[in-house]
Amino acid sequence: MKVWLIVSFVFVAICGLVGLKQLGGQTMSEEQAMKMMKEFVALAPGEVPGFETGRRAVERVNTKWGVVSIDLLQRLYRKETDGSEVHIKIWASLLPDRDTAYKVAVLFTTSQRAPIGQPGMPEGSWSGLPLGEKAWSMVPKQIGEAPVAHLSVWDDRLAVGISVEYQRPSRWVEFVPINRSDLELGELAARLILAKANLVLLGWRELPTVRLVVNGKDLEGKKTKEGAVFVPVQALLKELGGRAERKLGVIWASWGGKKVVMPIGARVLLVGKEKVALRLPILWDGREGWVEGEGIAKGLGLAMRWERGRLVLAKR
Amino acid sequence: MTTVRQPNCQGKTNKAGLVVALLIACLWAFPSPSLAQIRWQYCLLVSPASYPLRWGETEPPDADMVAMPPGLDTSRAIPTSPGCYKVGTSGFSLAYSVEDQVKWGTLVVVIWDQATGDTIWQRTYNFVPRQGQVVLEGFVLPNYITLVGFQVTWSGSGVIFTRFNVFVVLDAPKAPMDPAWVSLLRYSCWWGRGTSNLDDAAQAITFGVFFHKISDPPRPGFGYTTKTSWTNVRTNPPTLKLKAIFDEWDAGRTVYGNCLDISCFTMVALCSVGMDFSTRQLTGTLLSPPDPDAGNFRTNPLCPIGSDPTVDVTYSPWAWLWHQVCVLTGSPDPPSNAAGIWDPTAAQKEDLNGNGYRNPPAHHPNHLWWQKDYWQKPHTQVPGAWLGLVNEPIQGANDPQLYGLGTWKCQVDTGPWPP
Repeated sequence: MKVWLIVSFVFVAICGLVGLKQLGGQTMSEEQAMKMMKEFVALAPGEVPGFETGRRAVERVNTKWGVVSIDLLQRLYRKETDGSEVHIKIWASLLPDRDTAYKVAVLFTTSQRAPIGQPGMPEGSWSGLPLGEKAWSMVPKQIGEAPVAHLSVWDDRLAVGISVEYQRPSRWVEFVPINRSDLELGELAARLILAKANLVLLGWRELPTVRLVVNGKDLEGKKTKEGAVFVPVQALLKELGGRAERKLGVIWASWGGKKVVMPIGARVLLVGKEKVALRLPILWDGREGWVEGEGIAKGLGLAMRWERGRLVLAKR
Repeated sequence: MTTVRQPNCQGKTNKAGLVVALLIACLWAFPSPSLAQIRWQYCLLVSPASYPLRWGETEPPDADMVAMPPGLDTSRAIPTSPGCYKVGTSGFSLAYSVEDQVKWGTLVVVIWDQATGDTIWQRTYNFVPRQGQVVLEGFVLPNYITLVGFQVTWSGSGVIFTRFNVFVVLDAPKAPMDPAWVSLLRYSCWWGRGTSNLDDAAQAITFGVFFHKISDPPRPGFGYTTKTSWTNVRTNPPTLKLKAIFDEWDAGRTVYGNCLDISCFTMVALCSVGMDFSTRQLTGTLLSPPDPDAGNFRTNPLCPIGSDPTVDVTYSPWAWLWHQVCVLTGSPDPPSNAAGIWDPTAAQKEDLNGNGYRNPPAHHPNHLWWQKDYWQKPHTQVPGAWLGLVNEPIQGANDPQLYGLGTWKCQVDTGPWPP
């Protein structure tokens, strides 16, 4: 009898595990991933200033590589007084592995200027600031091109495609450059999507807090399963006597004569012209920016040490 | 989208229509108990069988099928169904049933071409039972692509009518439009209206896609961007987001896509009216450094879809590595010249004879766009100049070549992209 009970238990456990797909480091069912993408990762009203949030959908796509992609599709829009509209269109794909996510991000760049499967747009974001592990972008340049700009981002198991397009009531498609401010807002959408998806994939709410000591003041950090510590940058800079301010998708900080640029969703922070690599992307939880401790310490030139379970960040 | 016309009956029909309208107005103004009880149960084209159709609204396809036979059946979830028939089909029978207090009445069937508004057939069946079947004797569908409207009016204790339409196509719709989507046929039959053979229909539909945006007052259609935007290339074969395109147009927005999107869309439009088309990716000899467009070829001046092809300023050369066009399924591979090309993505200023053209290439016996010539052809009137798609570099004997996905058909779905 006991043997049967054990066999049954093992069978049920195996079935349960088989029913779940590995979507990253943590086990997440497709249904959970779809719910997460729709309810948490999708952009909420007000997150991209001036834009209304249109409908959103989450799809399960069987890819040609034999793996499932969980896709969030969302549209943001802004109506102009002249009857035209600005749309930010979002494709965010969560894949089970980095390689496939990279391939998907590359396919988001498919154009007539490269073989399908190779980047068809120039590397770099619209702003030129780092974004994800790799980004590609283009803007319309030639008469005959529709007023739509494209951006594709790869970061770990995420691929994000963004289009900023103008819809104008006209007899013809008119060549109109995309305003820089609209490109910044489109890029903000990509950065927020990356940050939010990473918060979920890291299990942010469940991550244990870590006591940080900065200038004798206590702060709270977050420790990942892999041992990396995320530090709240605005609180950190405040305690250090510096300043940190978020402008759209970028946190600009200054302290001790250093100017530090922290683009949300990037795995790099910029100190002057120097690039400091980060193991994990810069996150934004809606109120605070979070940067991996080792990276920010290196960027700001802080000493970092563990003392009785507390992480001490101090001036050198 | 299309301007579907109402029946335009001449002479007596106008008077009859007036009488019917007055009768309806009187009955509406003075409702009687008998009117409340008059109701269609069904009014169906029971023979011949229609080609199967999909609405193009939802997945899976089985849940999206149009109930057959065409016509009205009040017991259906969607009571009115369209039909789809080959040009020149005849032998139609109409089965009908009306809930009415009187057992006998008059049935009037009016059939009109929705593209022109012209009545093409009408018949009054006097003193017929409230349930029965009538043969539409002598009625033959037009021998050209169009949309045909049916109006059936019952006059018993009161007057009621119902309307439905059928699509008239060249032949059975071809994959991936088997079954064809109603949402697409509304466009493809409009673009191909009045044509009765493959050459004319394929040219008309190619032009229809290209010129759909260009209208006054403004109308949504396609615009050109170099990025593939409406085809999911992560699936095998890639998936054209067809419903999403119509949703965009319905919302009054222009759809920005590249040659892959636009030729896939045109291919399914051609397939929907019974012509077996595929898409084909082509490339050729490419420019070398130090040319700024090295790694690509440079086209002759093109006017991309959505732009005004009548003015010079919209024509400019493009640097592309590959280009996707439509071909008849089974056409010889390049570099054979024995394949016609239909290229809705961009208009060319000159045709392959060096004459003013300003239309998208669309192979036709009266205007040849053979594959190899379409790719590049020496200008017969201007020495050293080249006609066709590619201006630079000079293409080799084996150009064009198949590229990437080669000759292929996309699949289609109703998914959002994005909503």
